[in-house]
Amino acid sequence: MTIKRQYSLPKCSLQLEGMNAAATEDNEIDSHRPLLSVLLQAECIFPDREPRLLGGRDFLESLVNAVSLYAQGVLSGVSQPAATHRESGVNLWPSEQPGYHHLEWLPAEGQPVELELSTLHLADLVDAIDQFFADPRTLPDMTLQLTPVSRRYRQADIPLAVRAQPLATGLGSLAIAALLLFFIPVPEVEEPTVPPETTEENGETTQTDPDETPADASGEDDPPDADETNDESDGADDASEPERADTGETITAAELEELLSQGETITDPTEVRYIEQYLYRELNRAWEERDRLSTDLAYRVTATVDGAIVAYEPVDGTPEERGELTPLPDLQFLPTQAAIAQREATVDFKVVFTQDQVLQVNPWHGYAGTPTLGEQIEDAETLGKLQDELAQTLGEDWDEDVDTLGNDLVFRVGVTEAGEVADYQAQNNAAFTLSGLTPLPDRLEPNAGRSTGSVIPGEPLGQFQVVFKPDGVVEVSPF
Amino acid sequence: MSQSVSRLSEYSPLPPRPKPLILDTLPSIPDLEGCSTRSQQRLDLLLLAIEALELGGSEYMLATVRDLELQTLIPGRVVLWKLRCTNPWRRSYNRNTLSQDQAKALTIIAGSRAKQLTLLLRQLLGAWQDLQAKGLPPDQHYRLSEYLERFQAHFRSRMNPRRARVARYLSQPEQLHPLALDLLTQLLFCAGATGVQRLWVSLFDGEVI
Repeated sequence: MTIKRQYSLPKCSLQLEGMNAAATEDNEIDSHRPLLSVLLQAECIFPDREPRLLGGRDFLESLVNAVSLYAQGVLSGVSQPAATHRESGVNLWPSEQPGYHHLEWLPAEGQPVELELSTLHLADLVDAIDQFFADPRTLPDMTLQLTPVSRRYRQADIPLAVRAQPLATGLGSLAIAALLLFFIPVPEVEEPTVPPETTEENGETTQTDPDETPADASGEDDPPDADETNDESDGADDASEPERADTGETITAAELEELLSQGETITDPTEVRYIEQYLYRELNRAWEERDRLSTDLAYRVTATVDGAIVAYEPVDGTPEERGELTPLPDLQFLPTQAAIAQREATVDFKVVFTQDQVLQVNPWHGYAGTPTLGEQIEDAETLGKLQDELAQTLGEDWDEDVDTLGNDLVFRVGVTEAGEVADYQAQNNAAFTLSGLTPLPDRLEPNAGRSTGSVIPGEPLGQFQVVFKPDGVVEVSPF
Repeated sequence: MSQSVSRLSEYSPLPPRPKPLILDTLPSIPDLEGCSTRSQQRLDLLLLAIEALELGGSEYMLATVRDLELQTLIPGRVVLWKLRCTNPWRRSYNRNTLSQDQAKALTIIAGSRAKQLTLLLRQLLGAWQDLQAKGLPPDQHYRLSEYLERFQAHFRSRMNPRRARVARYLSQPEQLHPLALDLLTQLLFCAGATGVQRLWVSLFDGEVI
């Protein structure tokens, strides 16, 4: 005796015909709903679509899997890789028209069937399949398998040893290069020798014509004065031009261009370094799909004093469309009208996302001097108090269970007078690579000691050297 | 150690509330501590679409929290709001990461509201198809255009216009329509019998090994 099961929804119905393999007279009578354990035929009907989809168990399995995967893709927006397109069975892909889906059934024998389904058809098909799975009396050996798709690795899933490898080999080769260069003699510096005749002539002129010099000097002074006034008037013209441009209400590409080309540049090395550190932290945190790079991607990134990325452009032959693989599009902020009016100062960085999954951030024009740590707390009593507090709070979160591969992790940590961690910087390699294991990223208060709209600390900080030891001890000393 | 335990019991006579059982209907994803920012953004946008679909949507969400006994995770509207502010597009983005349990709670709320709204979702998506067949833009249907306008208003008031992606959506009213319609489709798929499970698993697409 054949058993029929139908799962009906307004725009789709799924009909299954089969029988109970272990059927006996007795248990048939016992149960109102006999168990359908062997499928003879499966049929999928869309009332306003022709033709019907018809097949055996392989059709049902293929339909169920393809529809589940496709529905998951519709939900997540992560498109299925093309490799899932099979030679036989059921395939689904989005139509060119939004809101429609293309279904193709390629039976092992017979004519292929193609259907154009709307989202409502597809949703009902998914629901019909869900109802079939929820029915314990129909093919109980088939269950719904839902797993996240795609094999892209998250950053945290890659062992630290693997991530540290490029750094280690790089430092190794640097050490070898340094050793080899050690044997090359340092070229001796020779003082440039000034020809003695010219100095004598100069000496003679100053000595022999003492009366003429004032007159000469005043005569020479006049022309520069004229130049200076010209310069001033030029400067006034320059200033008035941008004002006219500012009257536009929306930010156009041209205005952004002008802001970037004519706006002030941040040159204070300390400020540049704080912005650089902020950018590194933000980009490193947001860069998730690291294994998708096949080459290094380099960008010139323009940032403001609040650490916002206002513009970036690919450099060094980086293709434009690869930007989607980096966190840059997500982190880009548009400058406000106020920023344009105030000619907000910007600074450029070179940001490289290497295929070794390491992030590099460097100032585009280098540092115009040695960066300092900004203002520092001088009061010895306050420093002592902060040192004790810091040792205590960091010690709570650090124990010997953390595997540092036997290394001490050395950091410089900047603390506000209120005891908040405002800034930290790795001082050795192990600290650089393994900073994620320490409590510092969690303890960091990105706004501590800073006025709003700036990443540069406005109030003095206490600077400490913090060493995380592998045996669970934290040492804090003045930096 | 024992000291702190006895002190705790002195001050909190009630035992801690157990974890809501409904969370077990969704499988925990192994080897992941929290959600990605992308998942957090998707959850918040789905809830935003629900708010655009029904007036007082956030009140219904809080009622759902009570009905499904999710109060241990979401005791009130402030916490619900904080969880939603893990969406990096928000003006009030708080840079927190959702734990799996918190994300499960939001997923269950979205799925449960979507089930209640199935009829409306079908009507709107059907209307959109009719308009497409006639070659008309989606805002020609009264109820659909109402949804699109409300979604746009919510999006404009809560998302940070200084984010380039958000600014692109806000530059022209029509830019948001595909996103809003996409969210309708996603909500319809959440409304099915195992829709909540499907949504939950899809949140980790591309996030696992």
